[in-house]
Amino acid sequence: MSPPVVDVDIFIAGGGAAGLTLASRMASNGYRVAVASSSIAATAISTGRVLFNHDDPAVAEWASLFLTRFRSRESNYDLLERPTVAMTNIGTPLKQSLTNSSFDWTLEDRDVAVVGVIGNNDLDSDLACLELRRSLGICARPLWISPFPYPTAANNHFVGELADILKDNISENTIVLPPISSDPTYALLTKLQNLSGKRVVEAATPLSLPGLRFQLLLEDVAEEVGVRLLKDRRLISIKIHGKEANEAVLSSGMRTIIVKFSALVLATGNLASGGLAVNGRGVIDPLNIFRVSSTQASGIHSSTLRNALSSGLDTCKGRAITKQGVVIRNVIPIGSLLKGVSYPLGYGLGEVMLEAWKSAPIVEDAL
Amino acid sequence: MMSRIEDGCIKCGTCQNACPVFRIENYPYFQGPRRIAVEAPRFSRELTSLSDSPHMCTSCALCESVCPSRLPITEAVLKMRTHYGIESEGGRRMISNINQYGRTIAPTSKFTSPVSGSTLFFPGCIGDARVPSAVQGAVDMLIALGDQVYIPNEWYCCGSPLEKIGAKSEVDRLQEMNSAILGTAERIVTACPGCTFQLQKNSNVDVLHVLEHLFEVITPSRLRWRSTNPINVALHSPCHLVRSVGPHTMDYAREILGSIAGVRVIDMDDEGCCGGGGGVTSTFPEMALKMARLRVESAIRAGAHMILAPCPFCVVNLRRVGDLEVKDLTAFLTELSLCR
Repeated sequence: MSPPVVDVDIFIAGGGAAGLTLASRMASNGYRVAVASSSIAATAISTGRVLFNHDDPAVAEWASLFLTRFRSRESNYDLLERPTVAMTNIGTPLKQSLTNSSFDWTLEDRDVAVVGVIGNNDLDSDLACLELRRSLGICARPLWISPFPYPTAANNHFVGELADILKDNISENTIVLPPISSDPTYALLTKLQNLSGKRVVEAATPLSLPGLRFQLLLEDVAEEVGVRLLKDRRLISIKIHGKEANEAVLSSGMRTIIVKFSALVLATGNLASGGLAVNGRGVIDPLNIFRVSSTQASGIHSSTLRNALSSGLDTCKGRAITKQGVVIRNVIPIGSLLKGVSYPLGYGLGEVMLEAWKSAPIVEDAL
Repeated sequence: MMSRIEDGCIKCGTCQNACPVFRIENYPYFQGPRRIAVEAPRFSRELTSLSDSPHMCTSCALCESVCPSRLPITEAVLKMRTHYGIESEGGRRMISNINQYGRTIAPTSKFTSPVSGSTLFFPGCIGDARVPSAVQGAVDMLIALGDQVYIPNEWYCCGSPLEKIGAKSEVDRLQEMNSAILGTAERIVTACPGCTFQLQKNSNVDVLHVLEHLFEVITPSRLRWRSTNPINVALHSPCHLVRSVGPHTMDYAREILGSIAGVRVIDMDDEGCCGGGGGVTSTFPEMALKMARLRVESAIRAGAHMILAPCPFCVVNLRRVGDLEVKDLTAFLTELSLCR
């Protein structure tokens, strides 16, 4: 029996911020687009906070497609006129320009209690308050509450109890909590805010729910504009004839699927050794047929991280180049797979999305 | 030297967040995939503190599917089980049944079916003993669609549940016993994800889950059902179907159901494991029930009249809750009217 065939104009390998941004743009322009993703995208384990270069005209274009659709999902994301400073779960400052402003802590909030939930690793209130004082000179009060079942989407009746605790025991107006639910609508936080009369905000926590929420929103928008999401399917080979790729093989569990396309976009994440998206063991098939080089990434303080994240795929006018030096006219790498576009834990979400957005003409040209 | 799983872990904790057992049974009773698969073998003195943790894993493989380093976590957890040996009451009962009948449960059902043909339908132990309607339904449906389907007179357990409890020698013995029976078929079809995966591993012919058979072999153009009464169904995604056989199967299920007039597939607010796999229903029945209840409650909240599951293990475990009708997907399709 022959494997099933998916036939599209544009096939994108990698369903993180870069892949979904470009996929959504192309699909809303009328192209047939499929996105395959395996494992968890780095976007989903990031802080989910986005910093844009506000001088870039692509910000407004990006927002015209995504932001209105985010809002229709009650996600409370706002595009700020200029970046503000938020707090991470360990009290360090984090710049952001796209934020769920109802629930984000900003520098203007000075009357703050940081509430940890015992046993919940997402927010250490003592550590966060120490670091807040050290880095920003802000005195916040660390508190701990008992780990009664913390509200989740499934048992949100605890929201009332939690609201009472916040209202009766905490004098500060702004209360920072660990991420409270995987609910992408933030409905529980709204409820908690209304019931407690407090400003309830979430720490910008990596490896937790905020990144996952952002990922789910991007996936939702992509599906809404007609992108076909092939989740948990993994790119295992690319067929190249001469200067063109025309077919890819994906694994789906124990089976394989053939994808036929006019353009292939590689958005599989950074190649750093021990890197996340590829498989944690460095560059593997089918990506190791392409030439890799290195450039000095900017904006990262740690030199170790900077070096680790500086390598990536080499390109010629946006196209991938094989190790033998052949430019493949319809294979376009985007996002953190490119050299110099990698950042730790989602600091690069903004840049990655804008660059992916701007690569649309290259993809159209390759069709 | 450390294994790949031990030195490949970046300690991000994504597996712990994703684990459906860890959501309801917390530390220290259940310690989560990272602790069982990575930390315990890495620091062997912690092995003893794991207590029952390895046996509480439903082998849903959600941990593995979200692991950024793509580590084979499920396999590592099952290895820890082997390390402890087969201790559970359920495990012992299974082995004793295998010795007596060659099946994990004593054979009970008599199916109305041809005994020879080209497409061998493999009922599987759970299908045979616990959800015979799924087996009979599938055979009736395939015959109605013109398929030369048959159930052989004799067949034995595929070995999948024994692999989950680490009983390697029984797995090999069963494969040997089945080889002559299965070897003559042109194609093997099952309604059980575990059987599909296990039999395909050792077979030269295609072993297809019935959804794959319907969609890829019989093809959607010939599948035209209609429901006389409008019905909202919640479609449960069986872990072993989605993550072992492959996620395309659920695309097929959604597409088939979506094309049926009168049937509306509604989304549950979160996907998850029903608790029916990995031998947990027999070793920790209370916990398995708790997990099933979460799924059923989610379906009820979403407004479902019925849960459909393309896996007999899920059907059995979800039915234990009792608050909502649960049907095997194939049995459901068979009961609809075929438009010819």
